[in-house]
Amino acid sequence: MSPVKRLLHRRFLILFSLMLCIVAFTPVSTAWSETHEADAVPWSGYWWPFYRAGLATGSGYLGHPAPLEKYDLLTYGFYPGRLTSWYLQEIYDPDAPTWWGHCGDWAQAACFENLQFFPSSEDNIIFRVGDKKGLMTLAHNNDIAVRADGTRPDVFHYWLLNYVKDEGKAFVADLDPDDEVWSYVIFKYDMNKTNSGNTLSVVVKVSYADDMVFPDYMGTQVRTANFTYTLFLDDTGEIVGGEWTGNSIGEHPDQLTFPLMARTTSPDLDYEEVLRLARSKDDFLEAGDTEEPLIPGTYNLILMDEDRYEISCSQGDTVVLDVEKLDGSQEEEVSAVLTDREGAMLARADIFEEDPMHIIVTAQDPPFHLSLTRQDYSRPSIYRIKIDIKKAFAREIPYIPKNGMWSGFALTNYGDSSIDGVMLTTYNAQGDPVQTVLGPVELQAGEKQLFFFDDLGWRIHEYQETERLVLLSDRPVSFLNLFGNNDTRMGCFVQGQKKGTHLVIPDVMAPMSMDGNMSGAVINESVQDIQLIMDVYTEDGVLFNEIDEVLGKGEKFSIVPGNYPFYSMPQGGWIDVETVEDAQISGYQSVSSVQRLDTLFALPVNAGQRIIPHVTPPERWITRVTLINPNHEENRIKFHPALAGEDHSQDLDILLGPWEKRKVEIQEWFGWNSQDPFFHSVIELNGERTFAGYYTYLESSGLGDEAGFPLLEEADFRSDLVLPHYSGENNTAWWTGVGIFNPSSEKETVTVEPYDREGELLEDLGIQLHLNPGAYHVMFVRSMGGARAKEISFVKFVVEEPGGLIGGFYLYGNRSDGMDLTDRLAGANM
Amino acid sequence: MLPPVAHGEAYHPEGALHILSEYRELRSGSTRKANWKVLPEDLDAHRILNFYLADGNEPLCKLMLFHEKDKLKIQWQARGVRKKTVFEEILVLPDFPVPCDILPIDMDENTGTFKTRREAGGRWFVTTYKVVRKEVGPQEAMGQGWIRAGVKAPGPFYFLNVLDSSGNMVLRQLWDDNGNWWLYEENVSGRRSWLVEGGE
Repeated sequence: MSPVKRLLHRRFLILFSLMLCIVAFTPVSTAWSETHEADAVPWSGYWWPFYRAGLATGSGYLGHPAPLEKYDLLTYGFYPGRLTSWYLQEIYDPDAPTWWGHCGDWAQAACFENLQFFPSSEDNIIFRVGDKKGLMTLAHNNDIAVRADGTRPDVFHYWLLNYVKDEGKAFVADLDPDDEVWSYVIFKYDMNKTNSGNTLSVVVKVSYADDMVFPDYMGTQVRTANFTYTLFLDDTGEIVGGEWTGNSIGEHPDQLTFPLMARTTSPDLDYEEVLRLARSKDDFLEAGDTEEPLIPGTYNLILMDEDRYEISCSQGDTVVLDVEKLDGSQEEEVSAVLTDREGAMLARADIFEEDPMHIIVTAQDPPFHLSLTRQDYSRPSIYRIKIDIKKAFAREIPYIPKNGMWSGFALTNYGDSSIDGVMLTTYNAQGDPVQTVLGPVELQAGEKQLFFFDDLGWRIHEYQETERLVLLSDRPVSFLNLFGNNDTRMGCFVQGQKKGTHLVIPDVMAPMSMDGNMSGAVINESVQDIQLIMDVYTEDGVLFNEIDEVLGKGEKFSIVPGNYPFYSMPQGGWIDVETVEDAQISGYQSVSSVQRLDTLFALPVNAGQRIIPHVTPPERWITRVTLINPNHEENRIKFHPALAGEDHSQDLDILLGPWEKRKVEIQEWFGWNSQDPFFHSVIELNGERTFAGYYTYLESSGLGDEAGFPLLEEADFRSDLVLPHYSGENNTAWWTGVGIFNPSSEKETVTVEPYDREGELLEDLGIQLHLNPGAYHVMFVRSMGGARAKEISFVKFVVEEPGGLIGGFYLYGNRSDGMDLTDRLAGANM
Repeated sequence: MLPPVAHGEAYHPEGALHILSEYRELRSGSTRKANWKVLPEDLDAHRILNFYLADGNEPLCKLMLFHEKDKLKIQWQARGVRKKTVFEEILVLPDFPVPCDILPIDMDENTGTFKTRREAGGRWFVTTYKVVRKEVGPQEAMGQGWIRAGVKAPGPFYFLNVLDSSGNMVLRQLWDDNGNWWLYEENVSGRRSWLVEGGE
């Protein structure tokens, strides 16, 4: 071996020995990795910063109603309610640091509640995903929770292993290294570990749910973070401590939280209700794959799959259908198809956010079928259906008292056969149908239903906007509404409502009048916008105010002295109401004081003869006639007792100035007693020109209630009339009076047919009335059957002679115990 | 001396206990309160303690105390968690919201060292605590508001202080020599609790 080779050989041996030494004395390292994920992936939600109070104000979300306001709406029927007020008082802080918010509460909620959120319609209120997540977030703002110091890596390591790996659960971690707190939900980790002696080096990537999302975000926005640390082991390999390494020294988790139980600091938020809302999806018109009936109303709905509806209507009905997309996205359209019974397409529309569907169609081949679809259902659509059906017969209650008064109804099918599909639908001031609160029901022949407005299933949050109630039916039924206070005053709305292009609101009062209050409205009964001209006159006929308004289809224009545009009103004046277009309008007024309440539909203006069907004897009662001359010329109104025939000696002439309104008490003129030849004669009124008017009964003391009725006219006369309701009261304080008159030139025999509650004719209680031309008969219903009168439910008055006509009215009164006046009085023409 | 754990009366209330806890957010300083009820039951030779929120109907925590080879064993299970962890002689849970800590009040000396071991993901995590027993005068016990009005506690009184390996206070419980439940407790996470009813 050469010296060089020997040298190289020796160096090789030295190097080899050194390498052996290094290997021999280097500690043995082992490395392995693991990945674990919680059983449920937490949902992303918004963190709702305190300074914006978006949960209560909708700021940063969709405005009002905000999530808490919707909860108030659902709970109390209005917002802001207790929950919203509480939040604004206790949580909202406009001066809070911008990072303060509900991130920790969201994180606890997302960790605790394994939920998949969908929008739903709750009692017709849309709760979007953001509403639900927001409510759930607040429901977790005071959780009972395990809270650990995540700044210690051994603790963080224990939590990853214990919760994610062993328990399959996510946990909350504040991942902000500084003073700010930004909590997220860790649900997965990928971990590489290297064991060397008494240390365990860990590199871990955690996956967590983010809260930097729009509140309506569905699913989980995942973010990741990497941490490195070394764990210290004792001689048995058990972990006794640790330290962060690398970047994690400065950036590592802070507090760790695992919620055990949901709790909130709000006394007005019910966790179980929030949970119910959160789990709810779709809407109340979903019943699997079957078609759902669609009746008049406004529906806020969710499209999660194809929605199919059947619109039951009768031939000749007019169906007004609006479908609107409300999901706040410009994404894919909703497709709507309307077909008839045979499947023939009546309409098809692609509905976009800015492009709703509006259809008016007359039913030729009902029922109709409506189908709503879209291509992709991964994000549910929110939409609104507004459907109204104009049926052959409609009766309107234009006013729903909301000041503590009761409001009761009698719905009577006085016909000989049953009527199907009878409905009661509420409407708002804009004329939109709100909800069908009764029916469709089948009313049997002779069936009478009695109920209060509070008995109807209206939705509490739609109460304030409910302005009107309309009865819809294919055939005539009787619909009576009485309302009032418990111990004084009573008003009445009943069929007979006049419509036209020229009407009179006969009584207005000055704002803040000491004599009482007046309110009323004009309603556009057409399906087009109209221009309304309202001229307000003083009692003397001086023009006080001129108002022009455009009124939308079906819209109600309120008349409240002191409010726009009636800031000042003449005490005792009246309003002339006309439309420019040839479109139908209606109206009403309600005048009240401490002891009286009287309601009237707006009066028609025409030139025909009018009738006062009964004049009270002068001893106790007043019969007052209010006349209005809607002309710019004088107008002579002649009062003539019909029984006097050509004898005009008893006539009364009233000369009204232009636009004048006058009240005339006629009991002294025409309130004859039974010995007088003209006893029980109707009074005919004829004017030189068109006029309007009504008659009123009240007690002479002027202290009791009063009841007003439009002057009767030829269009009101029929061959049969109905008293729709007799309570069969055995309390003698209540009475029901009826007046029937013969407006024709022939003598008429009228059969009075009382019916019981089963709709059966009480033949033995029936009577016959023989009425001379121009004569009337008044009676108490109680007098018909004596003790058996309490069996009577309603009464029909039928003219025996074919083609014969009669007219009539009824009056309900009450005299409270110990009182010498009629403190409740209301009635209507039949 | 204080009564021995699980041998005699300590942590063995005869009936329901009511505890008030106050939680102070260490960061913000705000406080929240919770009312607890502890319902004991016996199952064979085991004593079970169920911890409920006063208005709750499901326990948030359940302890089972029993003896094995002359050592007190404490099986702990929290609501919503599958795992049951068995501790020996001492249960100190400063992270846990329920005031369910069990201390070795029968230790022979006034100072003792104890280890808690808990397993997760196949690894054991060990924490060493030093427990120090210290007498407290009745005036101080009363004056500090540690004893709620209406709770019978004639004294003498002891504090059992639990310190971590660095000597920092982790938990302390105030006992009446004749009591079967602590009168007052506070821990490092900002929780303070008072016995309100029961425990005589």
